[in-house]
Amino acid sequence: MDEERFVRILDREIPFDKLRVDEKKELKGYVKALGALKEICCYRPSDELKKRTLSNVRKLKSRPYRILGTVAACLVLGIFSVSFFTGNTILIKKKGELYQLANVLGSSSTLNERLRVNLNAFAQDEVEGNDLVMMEKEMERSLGFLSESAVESDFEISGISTTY
Amino acid sequence: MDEKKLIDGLKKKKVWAYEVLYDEYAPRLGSVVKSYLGYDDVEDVIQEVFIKVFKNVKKFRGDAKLSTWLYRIAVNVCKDTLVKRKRNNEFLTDFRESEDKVTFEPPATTNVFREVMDEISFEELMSVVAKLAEDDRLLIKLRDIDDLSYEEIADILDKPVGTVKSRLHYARKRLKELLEEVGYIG
Repeated sequence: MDEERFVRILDREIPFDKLRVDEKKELKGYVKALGALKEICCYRPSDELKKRTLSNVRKLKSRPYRILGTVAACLVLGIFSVSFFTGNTILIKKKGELYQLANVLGSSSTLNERLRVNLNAFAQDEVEGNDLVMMEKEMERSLGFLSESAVESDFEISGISTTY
Repeated sequence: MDEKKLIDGLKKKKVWAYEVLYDEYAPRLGSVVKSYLGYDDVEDVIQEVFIKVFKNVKKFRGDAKLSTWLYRIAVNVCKDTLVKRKRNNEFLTDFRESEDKVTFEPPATTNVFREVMDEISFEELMSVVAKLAEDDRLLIKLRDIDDLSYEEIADILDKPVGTVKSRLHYARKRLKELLEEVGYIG
C-alpha cells in the first residue's frame, strides 16, 4: 500500500468502508500490532501507590509548616542558650607556667602551699627569664631549706601566707 | 468532575483534588510511561509526576488541557529517567537486551507453519512492538491508541506539529516494516 494512503487511513481521512480488500487486510495486521502495543502499555495503578502518592502530597503540603516549626524551635533554643550562658559564666584567666606547675603538684600539702607562694613571688620577679631553669633552682632551694632546717639559709620565708 | 474545579482544588493544594487526579489520570499516565520506559520505574515516575504537579500547578494557566499538561510532565520525567538509566545502569540495559533476545521467538518462515498458525503469536507481536524505539512507541501510542490530535502531541512533546507528523510517519513506517519482516502484513 502507498505510504501516504496508509497514513491517511490511519488518520481516518479515508473511511473504512471505502477501503479495498487488500488494504483492509493490511490494516487489520497493523491494528493487531496496535492491540499488542495497547496490551503492553496497559497499566492499573495499585492502591499502595495511591497511598504513597497521597502521603507524598500531604508531606509536601505540611513542609512549610514543619520548616517554620523547626526554625521557631531553633530560635527559642538559641535565645534560651544565650540568656542562660550569659547569666552563668565564670571567667577563667590563664595563669603563668609556674602557677600551672604548682597546681600539678597538688594544692593540699603545706609544702606545696609554701612552694606555690615562692613560685608566685619568683614568677613576678622573673617573668621574662629562663623559666624552666629558674624554676628548678627555686624548687631546689625551697625543698633544701625545708628539709635541712638546721642549716642556715639566706632564703626569706617571711612572705608565706597561710590564708592563701 | 469539572476540570476547572479540579484545577482550583489542585492550586489550593487540597488533598481531595490530588485523589481525584490520581483516580482519573494515573492509569493513563502509567500507560504512557509504560509505552516509553517499559515495565520498570512506572510507579516512581507517577509519584514524581504528582510531586511536580504539586510544585508547579500554580504555573498552569489553563491554555492547554490538563491531560496534555500532565502528559507533558510525564514525558519529561520519562526522558530524565531514561537518561539516568542509560548513564547509571548500562550493564542492566545490556542484560535487558540479552534477555529480550532470549525471549524473542523467531518469526515463522515456512508456509506450512503459516498455514497451521495462520498468524504469528501474540507474544511475537509484542516482541515486534518492543523493537520499536521509545519515541516511536510513544508517538504511535499517543496518536493511534489514545487518539490525541497532532496539536496535542506537539504540545506534549514540545515540538512543532510538522515535526510530530513526520516523526509519526516514520514511526508508523518502521512498525509496518517490522510487521512485514515477520511476514505479518504485506
